[in-house]
Amino acid sequence: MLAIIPTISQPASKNGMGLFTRKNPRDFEREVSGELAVLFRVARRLGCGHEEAEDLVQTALIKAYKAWDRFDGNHLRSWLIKILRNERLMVIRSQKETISLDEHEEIEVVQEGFWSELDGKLEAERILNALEKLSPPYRMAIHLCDVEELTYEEAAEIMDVPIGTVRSRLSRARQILREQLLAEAKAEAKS
Amino acid sequence: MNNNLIQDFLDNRLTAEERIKFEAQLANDPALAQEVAALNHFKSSIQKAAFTEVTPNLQPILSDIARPRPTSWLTKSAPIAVAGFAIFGIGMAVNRVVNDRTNPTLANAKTLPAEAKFRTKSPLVMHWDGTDPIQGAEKIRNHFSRKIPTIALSDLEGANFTAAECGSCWISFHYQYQNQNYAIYGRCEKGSIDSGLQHSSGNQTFYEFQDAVGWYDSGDMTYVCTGGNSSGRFKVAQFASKRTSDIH
Repeated sequence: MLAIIPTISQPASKNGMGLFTRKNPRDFEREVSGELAVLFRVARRLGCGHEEAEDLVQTALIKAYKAWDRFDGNHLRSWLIKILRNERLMVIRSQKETISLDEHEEIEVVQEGFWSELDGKLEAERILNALEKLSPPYRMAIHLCDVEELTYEEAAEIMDVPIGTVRSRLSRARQILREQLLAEAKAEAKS
Repeated sequence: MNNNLIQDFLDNRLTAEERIKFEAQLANDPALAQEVAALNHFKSSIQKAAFTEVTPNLQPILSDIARPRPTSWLTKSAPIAVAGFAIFGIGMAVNRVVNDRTNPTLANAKTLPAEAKFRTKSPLVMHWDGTDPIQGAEKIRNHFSRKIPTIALSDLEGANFTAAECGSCWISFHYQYQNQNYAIYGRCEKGSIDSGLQHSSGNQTFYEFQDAVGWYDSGDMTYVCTGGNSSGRFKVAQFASKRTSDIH
């Protein structure tokens, strides 16, 4: 009969601060199970089609499983997303694609009703289309922070950028999204 | 109004002191309060929109990766079995090369590229041994979200269905034909067999490789037939290709 060895790790939630411990392979399926949908959504935001996203998640899971005994139990979600993102970058590099990033300094907005103007123009399909049009770094910033609700620190770790860059990308990405959604809504109203 | 201040407030980036100051400002400025509520609504709308996307069931993939296979006497004796099969395989390969050299089409053909080896693209999710191709296709359909054809090869005399398999992104049907084993692999993609030598038969274009023959269906699937010898592969592919376009 097999004995189940208890681990002393705390649940590795997105905010979990587990103790450093070698992970039992048996925990992998149980702990990672809740992150599958997150990984799939991130893969889609990284520009993968539906099937490509499945393949990417699978490759990332294999890598994660192999490295499971070296995972310290902290921030499981960030750890998995980082593996996934690295895998995607490897594919992109091998295809010699280049990611263009129109990096902007933080922009302070002063006009009245900047965000309020969007009210009533937020439809799921329209938002998803606008998200797809964002350049990859902006799309990732929005997805990690607004969709998966990761902290700036976790997003910075995943994207390999300073926290300030996450903040400025997020700010810029939200503004671009807002402008796109408004423009589309106005164009639709005219027609 | 500072947009970054609103963002930092909603993203919990303000210090306790800054937060108290901002909340005081918020209480006295209805326009600011409206703006904060609007950005908050915008953020939650993005999240809701992202959650409307359908997520496939990835649990079987995870289980496949995470559950170590038990070690049995069979696995322990695997090296001996592998050596036996290797000797047998070399004999078969020599036989095949001799056989294939008689086919002028293959003289300049390349070997099947790695990207067209669909079986390696994701781990096995389902294996079913059986002789009923309808049942075999049904077994695959239980695990594979896309439409797939039933390739019975009932009109190819001497061809017998032997097994069906699938991964999360590929399917395969297995046959025995003239005492040789053949497999047809299918995957939803295009372009991976373009490097094969093209030739047409009827309305179908085939892509010949030294060790396989592939074709595209009228939808978005690519099929590759492997195993056996070149003439058998082509025969199996010819008959199978009549069925692969039926579903679209």
